[in-house]
Amino acid sequence: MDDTMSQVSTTSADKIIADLYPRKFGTAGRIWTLVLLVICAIGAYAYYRQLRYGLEVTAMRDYASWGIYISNFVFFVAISLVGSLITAILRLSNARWSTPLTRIAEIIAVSAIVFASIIIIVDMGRPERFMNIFLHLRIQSPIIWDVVVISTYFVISLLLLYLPLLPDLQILTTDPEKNSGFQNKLYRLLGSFWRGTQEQLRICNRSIYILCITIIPVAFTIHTVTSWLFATTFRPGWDSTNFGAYFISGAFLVGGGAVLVAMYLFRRSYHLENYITTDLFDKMGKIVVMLALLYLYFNVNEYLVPAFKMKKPEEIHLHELFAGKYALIFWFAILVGMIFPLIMLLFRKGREPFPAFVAGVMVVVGAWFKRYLIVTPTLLHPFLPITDVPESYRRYFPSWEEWAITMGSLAGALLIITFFARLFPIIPIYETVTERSETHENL
Amino acid sequence: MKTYRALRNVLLLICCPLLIAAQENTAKKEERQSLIYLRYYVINNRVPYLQVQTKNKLGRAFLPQANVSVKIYLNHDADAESLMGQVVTNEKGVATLGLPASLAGKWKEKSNPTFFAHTDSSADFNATQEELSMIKSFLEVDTANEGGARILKARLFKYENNSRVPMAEVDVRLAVKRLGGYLNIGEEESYTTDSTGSAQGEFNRTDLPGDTLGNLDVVALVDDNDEVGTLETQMKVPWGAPGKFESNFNDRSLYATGNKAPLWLMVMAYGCIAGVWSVIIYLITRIIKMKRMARSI
Amino acid sequence: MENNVTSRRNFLATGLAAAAGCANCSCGKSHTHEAQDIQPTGEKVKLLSVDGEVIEVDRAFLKPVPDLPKVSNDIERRGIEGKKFVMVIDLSRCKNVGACKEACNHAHSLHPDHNWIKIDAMQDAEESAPYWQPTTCMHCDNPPCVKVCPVDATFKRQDGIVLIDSDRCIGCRFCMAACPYSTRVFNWGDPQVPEPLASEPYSCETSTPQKIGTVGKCDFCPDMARKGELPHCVSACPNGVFFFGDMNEDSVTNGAETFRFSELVRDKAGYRLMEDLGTKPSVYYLPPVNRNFPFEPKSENKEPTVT
Repeated sequence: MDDTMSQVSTTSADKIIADLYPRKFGTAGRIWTLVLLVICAIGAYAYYRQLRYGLEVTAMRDYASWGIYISNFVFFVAISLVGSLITAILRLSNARWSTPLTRIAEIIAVSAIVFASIIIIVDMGRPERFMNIFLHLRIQSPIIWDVVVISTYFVISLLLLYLPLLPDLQILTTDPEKNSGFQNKLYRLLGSFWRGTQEQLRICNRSIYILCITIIPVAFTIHTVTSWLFATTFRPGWDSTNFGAYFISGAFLVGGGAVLVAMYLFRRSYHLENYITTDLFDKMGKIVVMLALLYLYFNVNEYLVPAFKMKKPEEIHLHELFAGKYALIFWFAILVGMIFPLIMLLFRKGREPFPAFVAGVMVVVGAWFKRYLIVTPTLLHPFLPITDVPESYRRYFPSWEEWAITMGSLAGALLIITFFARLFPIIPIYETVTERSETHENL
Repeated sequence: MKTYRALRNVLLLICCPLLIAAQENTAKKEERQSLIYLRYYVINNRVPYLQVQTKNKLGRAFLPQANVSVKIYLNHDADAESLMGQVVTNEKGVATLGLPASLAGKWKEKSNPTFFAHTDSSADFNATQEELSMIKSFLEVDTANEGGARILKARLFKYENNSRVPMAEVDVRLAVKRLGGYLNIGEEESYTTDSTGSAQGEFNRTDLPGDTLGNLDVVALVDDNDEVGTLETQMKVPWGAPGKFESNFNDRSLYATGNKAPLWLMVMAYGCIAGVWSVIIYLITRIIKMKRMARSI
Repeated sequence: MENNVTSRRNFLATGLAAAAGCANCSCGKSHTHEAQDIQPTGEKVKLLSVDGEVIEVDRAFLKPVPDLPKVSNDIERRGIEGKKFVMVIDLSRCKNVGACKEACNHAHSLHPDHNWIKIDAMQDAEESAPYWQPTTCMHCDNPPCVKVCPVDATFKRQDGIVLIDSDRCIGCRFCMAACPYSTRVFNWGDPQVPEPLASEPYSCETSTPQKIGTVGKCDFCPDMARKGELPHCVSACPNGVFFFGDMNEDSVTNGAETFRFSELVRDKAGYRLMEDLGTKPSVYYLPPVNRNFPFEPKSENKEPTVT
């Protein structure tokens, strides 16, 4: 706290605006964007091939009928939950310190949910029949629930990104000289009606408050329903009543990890040391510890209980995970995705920006492989033996097209975040100014 | 029986790889032998028809050959006047043919008509021929009640000089017609006709489901007999139990079609959707309101 | 004989299936016969009776297989009224000949990688005997695959059959994940259907032609059932392993032998696969006791799996 307060006295509103104003890409920024664009282009080419030749270009076959597209989808949905965690839950619990993180969390949520939708279309055998979902809607299917809840969550996240942006848009339009023509047009389009009157502020704050309440059940639903895509089947490893809670806890953890990573990167590239403070890393680190413990708890439930009973269909599955083909990835996901970051972040030194960033990366990477483990091994351990299929149907390793599309989608999500940060202040200017002046007055 | 079956299956096992090998080498094999099979059918003593099957024998394998044109003559081989017709076999190598009305005179000539089948030589099939002689016959079915027992009777006649003569020593199956097969009316597999051409058996399939009124289609069946061919005569009898055709097809359920979703699910799902979206719509109206305010300032 | 001619002609309207034999018996029992689902084409063929009489027969009724008009998608989705199809697979007779698979693959023009019928090498416990277990689609009465389909592309009919509409399937493969019997296959690439079949319109009942990016599976051959014939696997099996029938008729047949379904399943202790999952399959198995053949593994990947 001392840290923050000392800064407050030395930071005027003008300096805050100058610090947080969207900046042009530097050399590093240009290279970063270019690399992402190239990865996206390769992904787009791979998808062109898939459209042309069908899903045959993937390594998925009749047994491993879902592959990294679906694990990637689950990963995106998981990471998108962070929006509700940071913005809604912390805001409602009056944790003011999280204000600088709200927009980072929201844009992660929006870009992740966009690519979750894209990747699910990529996974479809007949993407051109997408409209059938609305023409022949079958409310009994968990996929329909997922489609409904994802679009709902997307709209809410977008609103939650947009409404707090309104006062900042006014700040951004005060000096058109500083912006490019496109930026001015965009700002005017989005926020020309904002005058910052008391009445407008009142409506806006109230709307944000309603959104924060609404987004929590929707966020829980989006990931619970995603878990039900698996849990509504009979297969070993999926047939679990624990799955909704297990997925949500995992989602919060990966979201927390992603925020740590994003915080560090924005702090470094935009020199935001005064805003994304070490104290913020400390607090966020503690939250990640709590989330990691929570996820670990659900993992113990998820694996120990069936392993204790060792029902026959579960037996092969669990053996392959613990000590078989998937043991390496499994223990990587458990240790690197949960236990190591947990231990690191337990210590004050570990919650310093750089170690926290490393822990965040570990959480995110571990989480991606965890999603792979949730999808693939189960499908390759069916109830009846794998029979009368070519050899290639018995195993699954993603083809280059699948990797390219997956990487492309991840790059695409990062691109959205990058472009957003180029156009809009990634840390809410208005809220930072008001909060700091309030803190100042209270002194 | 068991040893026979085992033997047959050993044979089949040997044939299997050969069959595959044979298919691969169709083009090369010169020792192809083309065969025509003829079967004579009369259902319900009405129109007799011939079933023609074309097969190629390659090595030990018999492969049905499709798209073979077969000419069939009645009584007088290769006589244009006696041509019954020309048929082309389907993908299973099978074709059927009835007696055209124009052959009425030829048909009445003999009580044991002969059929002659011919094929021309083609890439897929050799020129070959086959003939089949059958006796015109009549299979009758009736029911009786003997001391409370339900009896199904069949009588088989052949035509001799336009009169019916009973046929003895022919195996007749008495059965109930079911989907794709015949369920014997009792334990006996078949019954043999006596000197009066009759064969009878007791129906003891209690509570066998019939149609909604309890009617069953019973049949007398002579299966591929050397003299009379395949005869089948049906009859409807009220010996079954009334069939109950219950179906939950129109019920609302999780596996029904979208328009038959369970009400509780619809209430829950659409309730949640309506709740959340009304909030979203409300918030959008708030944004619109803020826009209006800007105009009024 | 002559006096029967007129009465016989009267039967023409109801077609060949009519019980003409009864014209000669004075039993006075009901002679009417529903003309099944066959629609007359209106095109008459003049044929001779055994007596040499000229009889007009509608082309649709010509034996052995009547020409059935193509049924609409709506009728295909509703199924055949009054039927409840069932299959019995006698494990004691199966020796993995594979004729069922070949016939099925051929009849449905499947991609060479695909088999709708799979013959699993099974061994229930380490000390118990191995056996062959052909699996088809179970056509469950509580079908997990149908429950999860988002677009009604796979559906349950009133005759119990679960079918796929490949013109509607979006290829999400949720049904494949949901099916505990791993019965569903997916056309990952071009299904390589030969012409002219490939350009024909898709029929749910024949499941042909298979389409890229959609799911396929065993369909119980309802097109055959409409014609009164047996599914391809049933008639192809040299050992009579498969029995097919209508539960509402309480009978199953493999073509050569016909049994009362209830008696067969009772006497031979029939069971269904994974009864505990509550899927209520329409396929019953007769246990592999008193086997006709010894178990002989065919190739290395056919070692029995203890499941």
